[in-house]
Amino acid sequence: MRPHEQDNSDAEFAEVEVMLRQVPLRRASAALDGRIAAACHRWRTVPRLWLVAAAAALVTVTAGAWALLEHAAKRSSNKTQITRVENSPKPGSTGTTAVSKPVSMVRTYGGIARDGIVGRLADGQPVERIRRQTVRQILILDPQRGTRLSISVPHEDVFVVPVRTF
Amino acid sequence: MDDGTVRQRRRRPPGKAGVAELDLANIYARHRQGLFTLALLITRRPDRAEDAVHDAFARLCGVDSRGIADPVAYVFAAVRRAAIDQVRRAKRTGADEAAVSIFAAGDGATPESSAMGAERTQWVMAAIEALPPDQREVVVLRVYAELTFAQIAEVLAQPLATVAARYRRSLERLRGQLEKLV
Repeated sequence: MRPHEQDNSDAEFAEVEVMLRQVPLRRASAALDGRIAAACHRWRTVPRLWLVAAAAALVTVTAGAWALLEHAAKRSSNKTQITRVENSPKPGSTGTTAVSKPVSMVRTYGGIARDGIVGRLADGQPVERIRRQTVRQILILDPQRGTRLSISVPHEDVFVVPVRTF
Repeated sequence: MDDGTVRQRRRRPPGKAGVAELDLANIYARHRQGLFTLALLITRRPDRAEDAVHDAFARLCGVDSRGIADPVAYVFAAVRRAAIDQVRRAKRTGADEAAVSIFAAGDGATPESSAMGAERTQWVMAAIEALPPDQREVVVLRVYAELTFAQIAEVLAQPLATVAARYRRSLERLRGQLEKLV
């Protein structure tokens, strides 16, 4: 059979082909249309740029959440320390102290540490990181019991300030 | 059927300039029944046939159509491969279900089957089922999927002359049985 004759075979077998086509075929379910549409829909309607943007947003949110959790953990480590300093009355005291109410004193110790140049701004101006570390000490005296209670609260502030260049 | 060519919609997805994807929606809309029938002929199970069509289309999404001479034949070939994969998978799992015919006439539920003589319908079904598998596949692709011989040759990865010869032999055989029936 030559190639130009091949598609003309319908005429020769037309009667048989008509008879074959009269037999109804089993049909696919309507669910198949939905499955095919869903299989191709995600690539047709969602541009790949959006997929990349969604992935970038997910990474950003994850990194932000991690930084937030780490910051919260660091803050929780700055626990207030309560130290019981002394619990015995001084020898020779008579116990007839006139002061009856507890007395509290607050003292703050602080210092500044410079980390140096840590980066540059968009316009090239350098920025310096400065840490201000303080400890707030609260001292409570109870004359009636003769006890002293010391509470230390450490605190740190971090500043990033631009450095003026000449 | 027309010459079998499909107008390609040139798409330029972001990030892949110059890539043209297959117009699968158009091909599926035009050849839905033929694709399902081919898959059912191979798998003999409607659910597996639908799975095969779905798997093939899921794999074809995003495929670059450049270099594909005939998208319709390409899709049919992909569905055929997916159906063969389904059969292999079923054999591995040892599933043994009753085979289902590609024809709905056995159900007697369609108006077509009621209109057509039940005896003749049964004869056509039996005659096609009696064909050798390679001839039966060519008849289904030609008569029910309405592909050209060139497309069938591409789907089956066979020479054009082989496909045409198979079709001629199968229809001669069917015609001989028809004459006996009449």
